[in-house]
Amino acid sequence: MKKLLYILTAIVVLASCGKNGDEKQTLEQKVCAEWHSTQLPISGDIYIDFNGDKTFELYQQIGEGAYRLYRGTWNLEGDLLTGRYNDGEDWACSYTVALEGNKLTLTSSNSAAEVSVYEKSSIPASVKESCETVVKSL
Amino acid sequence: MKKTILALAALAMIGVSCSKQESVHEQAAQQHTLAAKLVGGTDGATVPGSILVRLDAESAGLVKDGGFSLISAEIFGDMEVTSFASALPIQPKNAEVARKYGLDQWFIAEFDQQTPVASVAGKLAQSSRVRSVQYNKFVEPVMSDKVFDAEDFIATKAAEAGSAGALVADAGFNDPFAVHQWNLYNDGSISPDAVAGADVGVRQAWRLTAGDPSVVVAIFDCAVATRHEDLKDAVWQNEAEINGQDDVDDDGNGFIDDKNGFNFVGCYAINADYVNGALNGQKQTAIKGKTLNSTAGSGHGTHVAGIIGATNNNGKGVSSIAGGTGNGDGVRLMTCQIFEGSSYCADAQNAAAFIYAADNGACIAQCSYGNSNIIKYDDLYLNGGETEDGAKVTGSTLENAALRYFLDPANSNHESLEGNMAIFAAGNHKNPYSIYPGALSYVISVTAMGWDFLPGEYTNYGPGCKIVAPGGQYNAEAGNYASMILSTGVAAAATQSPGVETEKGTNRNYVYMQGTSMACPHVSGVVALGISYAKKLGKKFTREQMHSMLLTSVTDIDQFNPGGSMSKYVGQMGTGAVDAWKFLMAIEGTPTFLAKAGETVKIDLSKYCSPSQTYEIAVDAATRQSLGLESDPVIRNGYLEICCKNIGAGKLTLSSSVGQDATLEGGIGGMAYTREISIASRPFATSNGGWL
Repeated sequence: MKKLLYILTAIVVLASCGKNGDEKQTLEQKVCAEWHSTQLPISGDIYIDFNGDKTFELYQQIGEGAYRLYRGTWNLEGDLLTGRYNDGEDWACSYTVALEGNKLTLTSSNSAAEVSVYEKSSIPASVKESCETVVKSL
Repeated sequence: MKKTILALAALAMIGVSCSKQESVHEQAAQQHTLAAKLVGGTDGATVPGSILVRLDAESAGLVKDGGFSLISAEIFGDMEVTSFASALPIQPKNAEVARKYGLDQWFIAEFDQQTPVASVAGKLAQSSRVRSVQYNKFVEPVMSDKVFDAEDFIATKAAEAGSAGALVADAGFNDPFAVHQWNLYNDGSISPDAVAGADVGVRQAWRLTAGDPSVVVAIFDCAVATRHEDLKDAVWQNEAEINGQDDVDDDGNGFIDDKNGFNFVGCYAINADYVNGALNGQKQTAIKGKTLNSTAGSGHGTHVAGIIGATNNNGKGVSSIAGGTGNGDGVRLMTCQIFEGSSYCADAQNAAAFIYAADNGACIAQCSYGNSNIIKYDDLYLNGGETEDGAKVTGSTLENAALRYFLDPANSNHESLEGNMAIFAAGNHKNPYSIYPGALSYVISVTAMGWDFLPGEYTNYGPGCKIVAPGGQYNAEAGNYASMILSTGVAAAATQSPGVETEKGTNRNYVYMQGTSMACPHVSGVVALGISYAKKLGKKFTREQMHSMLLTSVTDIDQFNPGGSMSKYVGQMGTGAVDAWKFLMAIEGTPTFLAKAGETVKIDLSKYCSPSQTYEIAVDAATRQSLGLESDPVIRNGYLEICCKNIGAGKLTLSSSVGQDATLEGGIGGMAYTREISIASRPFATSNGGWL
């Protein structure tokens, strides 16, 4: 009887994992998506596309004006996100990643501990069309 | 007795002396009045039997009410005047603005052509009812420096000429000659001499807009070929006249049959048959008793028009800056014909053209013309006189009043622009001054460069010049036209030789030309794109804001100057080379730059501030406090140096001016402009401004 219970429990657990393939993904895989800012420490609007080949496109509009496009590469070790722009400059700091559903929280790893929150969202074509490229592809 | 006689004689002498002195004073006063009223002299380049007169307000009102006969004797004495009429077509709807510039007070008097104009001017100036008198001089065109047929050249030398780059493929346009238009997109591959980026920056800009039919550009030039295959869909259409009756002013605007604009040279309607006649090499076409000269260079205006608005993506000819995407969405081109071959507009007609453009919907005046003399002062241009080298300048008070009328915010012709804009050529005289009217502080004057960012050998430069644009530079050694500007042309009589180097002799529909006449419409086209984009964004700007954004949306050309004989151009060509993409970005909004708090950082502003210009930076108290600025930020070599002690944000206003003559007191004032930038200071920041 106990064996049967174990088997049933195991089936239920396995079935539960199978229902949500995302939970099988690593954090790195989960970060690979298009993100849109919902909370920033200053006024602005940010879209980030973290690609599977470890490149990224960052579309940023700080204040008003056109979106500015920066390209570069990123890396995730544990929950620590680092990156470099294609012009050779490193990101200003590294970030601690927290992922909850479609919500990505990046907290700067320096003393300021700035928090930015993003949600999974496609980057609108209008943003891509009207952006000003600052840092290009390699 | 003797004493008494002597005393009387002495008194009499004193009396005579006094009356002589009074007479001298009166004469001096009269001469002073004459000089004050007379707008410049003339060396004969003036309309015979015609003079312009500005009356005082009361007299002008009397004349308008039919009371000329009551005051004609006071003005003209016994002189016979064949006609005396309002010089300008003032419409009731704009009468108030016209009054603001005194345009309703200007009249044109006509008299026997044998009567010297100068004597009439002197007589009129003595009347107390006359405020000023101006010779009705002719307007001068800026002729193209070179003209060559394009089609034979492209057919035979296409491989040699090379391609300007992937413009067509990139935009998806199918205009076959676009690959030769380095002025639109230049990746440097068209020639070893070409420099990538020496273009008008339109390739990227087309991602955002390629024009809008609500933007009407008035072409002040010779006639635009309204039936040209690459222009016919871009021509401004006056529907009331097109659908109305011939020889009738269907829309009541004071001009008969002005279907696509108006011919102000002879004050006859632009008739498509004229251009058609020229296309087919037919005989001169007569309209209303006025013989039009069919070979009289409508090529210049057609070329200029094509740079701005030849229809894009129609599988024909060339691409243009604001010619749309092939869906009827390009800007519209209104003909304001002020030249007709060797016939040039007189001042009154030119002024009427500005009033027409303002009253009939144009928001940009494209003006590749101007006074060829070296004029160093606004006053000399406006009121006439003599230049340092002895050339006589006839004043242009009336033209200027009409120009101001066109520019007035009350006459705004586009929902996204308060006021209208006027763009002029700087001139092809190799002079170290822009020609007028371009040198005025409220209009743009455009210098010319080649495909290597170097000034055209013909271009004017120096005071009065505001910005540079592609104008082309013929390579005589190689016999290569590809370095000139390719645009639409007008086919003339078939008997004429192809490729003839003349304003009048092209025989193909596409031609190469060069000159500041060609550079000027590049700026007009970019401004037209900017207005189109502002409309798309739902934004509105004043003319001054547009000027500022335009003059700070440039590429520094001095970095390409090799020095030596070219060093005279450094800092003298305007703020830099016009760039459509940067201009649209400026219209999009004020850019924000990130700065790391607590240390002095350098922010690259070279996209916004030409290193050859000097800037003052204004910081308001709120910004100073928010950013914690303890010292004033500065700009050095295109970099902003700023130290923010606080985490915060604020705006800086950069101010400068271009085209002023610092060497002459009261000389050309140039154009002041500003550019706002925003700064946000963070605990950390990259030097490239990236968010992460």
